[in-house]
Amino acid sequence: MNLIETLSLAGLTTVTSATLPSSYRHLRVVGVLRSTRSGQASSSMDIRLNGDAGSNYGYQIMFGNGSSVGGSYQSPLDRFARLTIPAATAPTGACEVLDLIIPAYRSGFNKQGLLLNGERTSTASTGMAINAWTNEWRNTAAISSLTLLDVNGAAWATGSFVDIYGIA
Amino acid sequence: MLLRFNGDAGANYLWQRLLRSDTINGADYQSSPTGAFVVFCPAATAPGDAAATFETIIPLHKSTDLHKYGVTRTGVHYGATTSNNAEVQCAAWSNAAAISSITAVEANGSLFAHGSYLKIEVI
Repeated sequence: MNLIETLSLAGLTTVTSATLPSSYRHLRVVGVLRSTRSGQASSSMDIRLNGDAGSNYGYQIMFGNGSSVGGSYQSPLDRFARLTIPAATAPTGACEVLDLIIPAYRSGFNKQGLLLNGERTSTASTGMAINAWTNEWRNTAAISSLTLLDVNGAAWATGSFVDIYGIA
Repeated sequence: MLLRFNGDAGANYLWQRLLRSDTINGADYQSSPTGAFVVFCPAATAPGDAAATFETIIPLHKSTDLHKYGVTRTGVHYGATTSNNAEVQCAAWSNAAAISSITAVEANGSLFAHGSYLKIEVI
């Protein structure tokens, strides 16, 4: 697994990777993030592929939050994933952690992702969540870029990074 | 089994777990355990040779900006015909220090069995 690019997010509200190389078979995207969104415990971050903002995505999510278990299927959507990002009033040091695997990102199939992420937005017993997803982009094109954008237009905090790895 | 970082045995950890055990969904949260990234392991009365397998990823272990958060995937079989769990977990060490060491702790004070190992990779 080789590092393709580190996205340094602090101070930004949207970022797009450089063109992804075609020398790997799979992608793994790993990171930690926090938002500066004022007066709020959280913000939201979308992930899009190849700059596609159309309604060409869907996902199934299951989550654990305190003792609660839930899940939902959503489609069509304009995003590969929407993550909850701890913001200004979240506990000090709390952040979002994400681990996204996209097998065969250059294949001729629609693109599927396996995402595991979690975050803590308050000190309540329901303030921490774990989420397991399967994500779909209904496009057979090779994935050439990832875009991350804060839905509320707030900047990410210092210490927010996302690394993109390629797997041979 | 719990993981601790930098030898910190204080109540400075958190974890939120989601699991499916046979046909039952479950979730639980621990606000101040003395370790995190908990992995429930088969023990003496579990089926022969049953084991837990897991992968934990902790991004940016050297960063000093934010607390250390990670995610874990676990599979475990510790009952004869039931208690076959698929689990995912978000866990944290409430400390912004760089992680310099990892300690694996058998939370009940028992020994890990022959064949048990933990592999640490730096990416």
